[in-house]
Amino acid sequence: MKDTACSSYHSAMSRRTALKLSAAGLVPWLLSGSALSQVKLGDQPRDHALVILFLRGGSDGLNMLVPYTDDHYYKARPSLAIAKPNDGRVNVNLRAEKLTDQFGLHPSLRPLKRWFENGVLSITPAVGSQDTTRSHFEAMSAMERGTATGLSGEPSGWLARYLKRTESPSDTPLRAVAWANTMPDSLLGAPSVTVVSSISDFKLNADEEFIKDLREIYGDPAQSLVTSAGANTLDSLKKIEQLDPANYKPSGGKTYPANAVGAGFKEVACLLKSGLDLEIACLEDTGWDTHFAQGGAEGIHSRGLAAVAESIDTFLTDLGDRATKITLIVMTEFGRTVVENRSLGTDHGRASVFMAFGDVDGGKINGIWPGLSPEQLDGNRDLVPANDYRKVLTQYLAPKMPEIANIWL
Amino acid sequence: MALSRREALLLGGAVAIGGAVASSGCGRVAAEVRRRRKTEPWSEPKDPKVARLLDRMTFGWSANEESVYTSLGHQAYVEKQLAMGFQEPLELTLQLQNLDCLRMQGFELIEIPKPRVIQQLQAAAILRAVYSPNQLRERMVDFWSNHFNIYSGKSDAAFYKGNQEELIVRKEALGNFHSMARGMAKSPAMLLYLDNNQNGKKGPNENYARELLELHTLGIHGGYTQEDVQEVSRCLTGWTIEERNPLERLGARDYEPRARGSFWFNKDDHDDGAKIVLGVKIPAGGGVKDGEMVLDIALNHPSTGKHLARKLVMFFTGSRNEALESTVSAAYKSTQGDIKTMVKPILESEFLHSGAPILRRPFEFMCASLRHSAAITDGGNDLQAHLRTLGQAMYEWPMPDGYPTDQLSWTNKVLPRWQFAYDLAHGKIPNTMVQPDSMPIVDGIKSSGSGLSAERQRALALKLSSPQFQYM
Repeated sequence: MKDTACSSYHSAMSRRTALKLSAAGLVPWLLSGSALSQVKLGDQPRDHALVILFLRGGSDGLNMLVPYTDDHYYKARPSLAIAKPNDGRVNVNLRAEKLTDQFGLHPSLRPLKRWFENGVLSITPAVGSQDTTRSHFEAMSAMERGTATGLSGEPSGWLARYLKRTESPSDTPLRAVAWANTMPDSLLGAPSVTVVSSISDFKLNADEEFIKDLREIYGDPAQSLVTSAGANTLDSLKKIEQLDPANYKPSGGKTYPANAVGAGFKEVACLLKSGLDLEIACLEDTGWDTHFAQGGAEGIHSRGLAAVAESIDTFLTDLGDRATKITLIVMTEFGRTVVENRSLGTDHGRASVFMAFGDVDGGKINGIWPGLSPEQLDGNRDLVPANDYRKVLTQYLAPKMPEIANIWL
Repeated sequence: MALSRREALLLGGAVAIGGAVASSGCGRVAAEVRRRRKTEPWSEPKDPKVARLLDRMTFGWSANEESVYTSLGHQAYVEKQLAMGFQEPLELTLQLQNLDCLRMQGFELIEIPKPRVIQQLQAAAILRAVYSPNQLRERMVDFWSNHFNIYSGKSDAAFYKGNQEELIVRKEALGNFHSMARGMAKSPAMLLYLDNNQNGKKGPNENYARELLELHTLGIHGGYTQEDVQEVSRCLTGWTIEERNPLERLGARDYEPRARGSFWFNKDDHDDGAKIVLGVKIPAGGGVKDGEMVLDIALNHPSTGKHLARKLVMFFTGSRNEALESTVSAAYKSTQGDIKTMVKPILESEFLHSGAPILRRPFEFMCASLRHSAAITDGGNDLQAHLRTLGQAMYEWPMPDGYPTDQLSWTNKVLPRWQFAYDLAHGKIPNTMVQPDSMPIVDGIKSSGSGLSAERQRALALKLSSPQFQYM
């Protein structure tokens, strides 16, 4: 039992739980290899969980899924375009990674290729909303509220409406968890949500008396939004404090990258494996608004993509068989201009790429490709959002979450 | 001269923040001033209505603020706040004067590690919000810093932020909006943050042009189009930063001495063709005037006053109020952007008190807690770590819209508030302590507790954690 800090044993259990189990003679069983992943803290594992990674700022879809057979792409991006998969003049690590006869992956997304080949990854290009303002905030507002444009005035988020329609008395505040500074709009109005910076920080270092006092003053959830949030927090606290995410060790031999995205996925995996109530996990990342120094095969965007790809590769490997019970969506509010600007970047456009992992009929490029010739663009400028994001999300999610089909506005 | 614990704390703070050892002369003066100042013992508000008004006009009620308010009366108090007529305390001035980020130029600061510059910027913001008696100005500084958000993590923006804060935000916080917006357009921090330094005639960069219309002036539904964004962007081509040492340019054909890191109109990179912005023709050959015309057009557009009025009324009262908004917006128009004239009707309105409860954002919550408990702080690392966990580290919001203002964004994050309340009351935040009511003074800063009795610690932690205290 000495020095278990790095073992997955600690990943799912607190010392307190360990003591109880130890007394029952369960520890040897727990330490016997694969049984580790069976450790359960809760008795409410969901049949299916949805993980969302929202890339805030508008990730450049044309730099994620490269239409390498299209000359317009190379003409519009003399500095940024990524070389064709078979372009012998370019270092192989800087070329597009061929997926189909038409599209290749950004070289930084290479770790995702095997998931595509295994049928776990489906990619839809040219996804967007009807919002034409090209404003981050309007486009995010549309996409997170599940509306056509940001103008709707709809106060609730699409995930919140899903949670509400499928609410059950046994739900806990851990049914939906957002890793964020502030609550994502997609969860606005949800029956109960937990917002954390990280679950390792989700603890209260205080004396028992203080916590007892809090239970009293936050005893009436109906009093205000804050009292309701406080009551939920006290409930989640009891559960999360039994986890030990800091010492969590993934299965499958990969290590989560040491960046914000990696840390987020690691915590989602930790929570998913704990058997607590988690059904919807919202992660987000910033830094995708690449007006400047975006780069093509190398640069700011490339580094962001590498962090995403390595994190997801580790996450899916870590989940093992469980990976079939989750759907992971990578989304962003809009794509960027087809033509590069002069600062090795791109400006706000309309449509970008969505990726879906899980039981999603993967291994192919999904949806309509509207083309890049000037007359095919929106205002001679931007890739047309030929695939409405609501349709794309319904297609990916409705098989496991049928109510999704009914929450769009 | 033997220093008391409080005095030592004050000095320690200045030293820790400034990085340089404070001269003992200044430190002694600060300590002496602090020692002689009579502070009100920790207490509860006498009049709940006054407390609500002060919560909204200032960074939170304090016993001292209530005495000042009560002795002046609402009208005179508002006038004096608008005129920024309160004397800044010497110890605050001393605490601030060691901050490199406030007294050095951006390009000089580049020699200093960026995290330390950001730490200083945050310390300055916290110290002023908590201790300046010109509280209304501090609230407005917070408002405008978010309106013209700068993310200190973006390229070298952090190095230029302090200068921008001093010379534009603070100068015009209760001054003139037109001047502020014009200053912003040429400020290196903004040029870097929204990439206009990269906006040239071959492939414009639209980033700043869009946010200028969408966030800074007209507002998202203010009546501009994508074409306007592109035209504004063309007008602003060549608005960049002088990167070179002035000596390097010596002998150049068009040499004019210009400080490194200052605004520079690079006419060779300006798109000098004709443009149309919001229906107004901008003739070819205008040079730097193109951008200045854009600012004129945007600042005088009817949507701009409405946009600002809506935000200001929301900021102070937490609700929409069309009548009040139109008063504010009319004031904007008639005075060409005089902020005092815009804010005054809000502060004089009954609605300031009667508007729906406003959830304090984390920065407001932290400052209100420190003011409520008459705490002494250096505003340094340990306090900033709390603010980061609370979710609102200053100048760390990456998107150009500034920290969210709607309460649902913040409601679900109460846990770090409880931790902060508990740590503050129990003296667990190094270099921050609650005013010891009648405690004997003990030497040493970091070791001992808050100076409150166990009962008072419990009561204070609970008070600051309570659902009621989260609202103002």
